[in-house]
Amino acid sequence: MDHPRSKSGSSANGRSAPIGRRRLLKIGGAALTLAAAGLPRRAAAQKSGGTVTFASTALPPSLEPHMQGLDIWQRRKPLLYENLVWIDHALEPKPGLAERWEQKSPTEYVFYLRRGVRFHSGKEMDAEDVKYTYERVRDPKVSPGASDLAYVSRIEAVDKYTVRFVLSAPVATFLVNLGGKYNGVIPKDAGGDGKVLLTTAVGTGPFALDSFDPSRRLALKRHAQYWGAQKPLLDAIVFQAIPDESSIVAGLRTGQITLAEFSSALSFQVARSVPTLEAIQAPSTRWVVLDLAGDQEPTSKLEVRQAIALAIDRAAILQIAGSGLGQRLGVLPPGLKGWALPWQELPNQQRDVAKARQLLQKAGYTGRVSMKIRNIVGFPALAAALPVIVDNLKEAGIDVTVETVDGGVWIKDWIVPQSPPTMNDWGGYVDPDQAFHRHFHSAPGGRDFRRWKNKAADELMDSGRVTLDRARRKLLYDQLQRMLAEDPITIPLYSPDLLYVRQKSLKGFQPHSTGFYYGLRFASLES
Amino acid sequence: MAEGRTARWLVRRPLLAAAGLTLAGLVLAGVLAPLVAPYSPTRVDAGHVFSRPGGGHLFGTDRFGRDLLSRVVFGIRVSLGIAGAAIAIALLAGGTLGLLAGLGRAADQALGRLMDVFFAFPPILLAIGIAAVLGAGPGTAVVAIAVVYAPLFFRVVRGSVLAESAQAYVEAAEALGRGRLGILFRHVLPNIISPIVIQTAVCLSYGILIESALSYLGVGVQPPTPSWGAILNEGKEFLMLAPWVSLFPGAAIMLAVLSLNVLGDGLRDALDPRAEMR
Amino acid sequence: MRAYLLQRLAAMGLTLFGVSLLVFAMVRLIPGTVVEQLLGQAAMASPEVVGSFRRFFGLDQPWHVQYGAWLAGLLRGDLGVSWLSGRPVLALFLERLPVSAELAVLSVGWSLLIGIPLGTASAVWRGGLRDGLIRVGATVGLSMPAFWQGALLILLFSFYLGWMPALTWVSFSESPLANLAIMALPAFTLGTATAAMITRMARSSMLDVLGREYVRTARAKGVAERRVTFHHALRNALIPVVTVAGVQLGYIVGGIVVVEDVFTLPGVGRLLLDAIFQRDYPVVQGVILLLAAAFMALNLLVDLLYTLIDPRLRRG
Repeated sequence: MDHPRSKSGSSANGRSAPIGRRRLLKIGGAALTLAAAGLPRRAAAQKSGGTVTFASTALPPSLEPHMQGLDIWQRRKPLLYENLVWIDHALEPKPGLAERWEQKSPTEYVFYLRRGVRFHSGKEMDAEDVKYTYERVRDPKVSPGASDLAYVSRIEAVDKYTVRFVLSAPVATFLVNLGGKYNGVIPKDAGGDGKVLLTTAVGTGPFALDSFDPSRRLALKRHAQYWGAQKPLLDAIVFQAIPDESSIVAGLRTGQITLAEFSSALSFQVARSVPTLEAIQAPSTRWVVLDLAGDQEPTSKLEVRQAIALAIDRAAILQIAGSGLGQRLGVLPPGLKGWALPWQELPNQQRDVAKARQLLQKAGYTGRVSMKIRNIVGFPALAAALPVIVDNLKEAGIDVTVETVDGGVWIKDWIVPQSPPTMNDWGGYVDPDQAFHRHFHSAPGGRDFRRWKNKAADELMDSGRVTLDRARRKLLYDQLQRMLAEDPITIPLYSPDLLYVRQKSLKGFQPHSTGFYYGLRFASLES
Repeated sequence: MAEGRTARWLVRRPLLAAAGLTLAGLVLAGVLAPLVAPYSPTRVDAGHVFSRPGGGHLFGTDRFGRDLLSRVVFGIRVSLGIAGAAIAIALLAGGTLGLLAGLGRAADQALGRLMDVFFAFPPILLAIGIAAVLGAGPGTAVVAIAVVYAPLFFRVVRGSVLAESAQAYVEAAEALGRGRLGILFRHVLPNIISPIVIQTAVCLSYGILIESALSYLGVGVQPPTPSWGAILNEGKEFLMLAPWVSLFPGAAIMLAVLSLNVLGDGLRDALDPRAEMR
Repeated sequence: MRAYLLQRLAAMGLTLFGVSLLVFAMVRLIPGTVVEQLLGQAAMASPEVVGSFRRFFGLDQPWHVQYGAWLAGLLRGDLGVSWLSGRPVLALFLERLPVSAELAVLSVGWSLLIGIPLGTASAVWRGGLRDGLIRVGATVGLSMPAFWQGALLILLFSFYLGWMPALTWVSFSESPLANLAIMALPAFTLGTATAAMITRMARSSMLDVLGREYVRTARAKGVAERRVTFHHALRNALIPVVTVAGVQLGYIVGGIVVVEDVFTLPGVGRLLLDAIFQRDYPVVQGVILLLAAAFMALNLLVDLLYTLIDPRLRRG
């Protein structure tokens, strides 16, 4: 059992034995009994082809491809919608709906489309559809992703299978953003008045929409006319929202669920111990973070920010809140391969309460300091880190009041922006520009919602965006990471691993570090 | 009632005595929580995560290694405090309005219609709605519960006032030229204390239940503050791994509500002779 | 009688109008709108998107205009359309109603089934140990938080006994057995407090009747005690019990929200909670209005029933 901190030998009283393997095996035993009793085992009984029932705690309220930023939607979107390029498992842009492209100059790209790509409606995809799609995403009145394509000055349909993009400046992240989360090619004029695509879907992806019950159930069926050389193997995928993860564990045990994604490491551990199931654990590009407020007392003072960073026991948070199933990180998660600096190389990473107290005094605080930390409803991993933070900070002389708000409140304050220090959860990025520019660059380029107002950092982000040479870019972002560790306006806590549990019959599901379910395209069922 | 009689009356009702003692014990433990609780309720201890009940941690520990007994004891303050404050407000507001309804037919009609609107909502839904508007927190829970139960006090007081208004002493006071308001507060109120007291005991138990339901649904008291419902909310994620985290606070809720119910029954017997069923 | 009914219906209409105002204002006072829910974290990237979405849902209109539009729809019998799924609110409600209705009926059913015999027995055994046990049991049943009881039952059955019903909803018509397996624990949980209430009511009502003249007369005539209890007393004692059951059915509506959450059942309660969290105003408003109407109609029905059963009340 992976509670390294709770070995019974370390217990003060000797009686407080931790949950042991025996207990977990007992749960597995219950599963065997159930299987023997012949309860429904829909998934396991099916041959290749077949239906995968994929359970998770939440499903998106709508299917709109260009307007909705929710992660629970973005993860599923690649199954329905595709782009000119896709981001492969090494996080590199690879040909998608475009079979190849040429960079004619630093600011001009020409894409040659695949022929015979069919939408789910049966219509063939052509250059007009591509132009329409990216024009739609580029419209700030339509898509929150517009800022990713803000530097695109012109899109031309050269002929039926050729599209030209002209940029206003050289941009290092153009291709990566093209494959990014807000896009997705739809037929020309399919967007309509904006209402149609909330509950229907017409893409080119390996699966087509079968039925959709918002926030509860999303059923997909194989797209028979899919362009890829390798056709999707599964007949259907049914995403089912089951809000309670212990019910998901039970459903996996009885075989009602084929595959499940867990947000709680505790439930994952219970499911993993069932002998009929297989666990999949992979590093992600997500991370849990405490974002501070640069213009509100006391975190407006640099020393206080550093003191908080030093007071927090990140190893304990990973252990307790993440059950140890994740990675420590400095500024960027290790999942962002090739960009993230190891935390050991950065300042303010190891707990040092004495130094934290000194810094508070230096900041002019002689008595106890009080601050507010905001918690957003519905993120168990964030809530689980809070008690540790509150306790850690108390030791350093900071009294925390926790304020729990609904996502709507948080976003409202974010738009202003005026949010207090907040527990957050970021990720799904494939490039440091995506991770930094939007969130840390001051307006109008980014939104700097933490009110960091750091001009030097702005310059680094600007250079990073237009520097095409990879090695030189890396140096710029190394510098930015050091700057963020030195002045921690945001305090990354840990990067949780992606946690899936599957029936043994499900083969070939490869996790993608963004958390997107590209892997289901090649998954199959064996009886 | 003379002391000797009270004692004898209680001896014949061991349940009632037990309920009274339990409540007094809970309140005392809550007031003296820092002395009673063996640990701080928010102290994280990574070395003792999910300890089973017994030994150094009588009720075990949770995922943060926090002592559950201490959390339940400090939870008394929060849970009973919220319920008590809320019912006090509900009593004051609902009771006053109920008395005012005795001013005349117009006041009665207007207030009655207004209260009907609140009665049309199932209590927990109204509380969830109010909590959503005000944002989660202990103050919110107080307001939500108060709004839900004020109409109940209104109804009880109004009913008693109407019944009492027909009594001879009211007519006599009116004949003497006393103001309606003065009569209501000076003469009627003292005579309708019994039903109000009974209603208060019953509503306190509802208040505790609603507070725990709100916190359980995540719209009441927020972690790491320990209220019984909030502990249950945290515990539901690892119900299978550490059932004790859900067991003890739930038992505490039941104990408190049970005592209040028994007390309410006893009060009814004592104060309302017609209801005595022996 | 007709005048009384008309008067009650008019009062109901007035109350519903009040409820509509209250719920309309309440959902709009909850911070955040459906727009942020749809856009997610990304909303901050572009205030223009937020603006166009707000116009799209008519959220940029002043409140009285929005309310007027909703009320106009209501008067035409149109509850509006869900902002997230685009489906009519009434259709969504009717789709979920069978789950909640079944839950309500089953829980009231079992609480009557257990409450009446226990209450009757308790009255017959009055003062004895068995009476004491039943009364304590009933008080305990009244004191258990439903969500806690539900969680313990889930723990007991799925973990210790290894029993687990289907996770996805199966309607009674699809498979009665699977359906009842899903419903058993939720109905038991939801009905516990009601069963306790009915036990207490049945007991006191039975005691009341047993003390009446005609029962004593029957006894004096030498009618067997068993016959006195079941033939003469019980029938009369049941009247107030049925009334209590009716009133309880109304209060169960509140319990449904909690129990559906604990057992993750796709009923009206879930629909409502989800809609509140997603700020789907038309669904929240419509469902609450329908629930309030049902709640009041039920109260009216119980009152009428009472008037019919007990003619003395008709004059009042």
